[in-house]
Amino acid sequence: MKYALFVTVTCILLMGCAMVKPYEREKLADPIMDASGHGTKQSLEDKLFSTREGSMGGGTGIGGGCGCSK
Amino acid sequence: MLQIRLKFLKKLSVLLIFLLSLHASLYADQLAYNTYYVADNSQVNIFTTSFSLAKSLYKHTTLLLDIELDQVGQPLLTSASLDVISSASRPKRNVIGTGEYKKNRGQFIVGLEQGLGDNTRFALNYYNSQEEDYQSQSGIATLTQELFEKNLTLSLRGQYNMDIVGEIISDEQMLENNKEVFQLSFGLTQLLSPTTFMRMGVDERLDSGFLSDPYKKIAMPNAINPVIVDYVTGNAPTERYRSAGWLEMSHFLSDLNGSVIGHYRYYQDDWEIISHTFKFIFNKYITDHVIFSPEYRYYTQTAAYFVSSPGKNGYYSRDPKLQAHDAHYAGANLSYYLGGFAKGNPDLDFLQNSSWDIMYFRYFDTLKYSSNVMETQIKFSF
Repeated sequence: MKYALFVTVTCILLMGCAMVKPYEREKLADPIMDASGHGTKQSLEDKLFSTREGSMGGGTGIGGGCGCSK
Repeated sequence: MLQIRLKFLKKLSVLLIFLLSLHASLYADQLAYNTYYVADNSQVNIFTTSFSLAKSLYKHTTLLLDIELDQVGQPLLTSASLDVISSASRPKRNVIGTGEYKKNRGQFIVGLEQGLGDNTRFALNYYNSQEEDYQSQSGIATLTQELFEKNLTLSLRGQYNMDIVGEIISDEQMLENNKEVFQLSFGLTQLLSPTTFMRMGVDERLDSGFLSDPYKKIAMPNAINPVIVDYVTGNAPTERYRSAGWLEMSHFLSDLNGSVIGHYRYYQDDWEIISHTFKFIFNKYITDHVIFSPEYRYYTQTAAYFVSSPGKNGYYSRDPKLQAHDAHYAGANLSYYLGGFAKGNPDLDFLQNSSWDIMYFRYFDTLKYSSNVMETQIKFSF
């Protein structure tokens, strides 16, 4: 329930943001704006972190299974 | 050891030929080959090779395929203790074996993404991972909706995992336990200006079943004769409810021809682990075709209640993942875009968006664990 409320409030607040037109998005589409780097970097790093850290989440990729260094 | 490596290389070659054939038959839109190497301070090493491709099949339908092979190597342990030094425990039988222990893992993900109109996409993925003593399967469904002239993107994802956690007791004996995971994630991306966008999301997850690591042993006094010490598997609760919330900002620095990205994640679960993660990335175009990206990540967590108070509610564990600690991850990535080779040669047009990446990172934590991470990737976009 608290997350539904959080999502609803966030969406309402974001509706107040200025619109960025399609022709203004060249810089936003640049590869250097992507935090996950190239395709598999994020998932391979997540595998390392999951063998040493007790948390999860944060917009990471799919998958599961063993951490492989066990 | 040489023979094992040759076998592994042979398997890789077969896979490479298969994928190239597949690519030739499908004319993939994107094809990537990746190698990843991790070596830690307990002399465990992981060598990963992966291939992925994406292919537009018909109008708004895209096929995704990802194949990954791991090989984990570990030298003969010199200590009787299996779990104290690092996460790199291994099957008991190998403690008395000779030479380096090797374990292989194979994984594939196959997915289909379908556009439903201009602003909606639906994706289904199936994941399968197999190794000697661990099997995992999962199904993932993702719905993505773009709103307000694509200024806002909402994403909802559901995932179900079904794992079999094995423990090799001897050459012919294996103990198997089941584990299930349900996960629901919500994320959004909002454009804030022509140079800035924001991403945020929440993740909810329920793990149930066997949630201990069978190879993380604990020294316990024998029930009959307390002078004798038994090494037993940790006993964790059979359910764990986990939540995370995260926020990320990406900003283009026009003056520097670069970008800066900040990421924060908050996590908590009902084992009383609370963690904070901060990540900063700076990307800079060195030339038109070369990007240099230094990155730093800081992580801190509290301990699970049955680690800080062993025996509470009958649970105990020595898994480092459940202990209070801080961790640092720092390094850099270098990307080289291959477009320069395509100049004046229309046959090489596909190189315009193709790239080669190399990176080096170091991970270290306050539990005296450290590892070096090296990766290289070559990606072709057609």
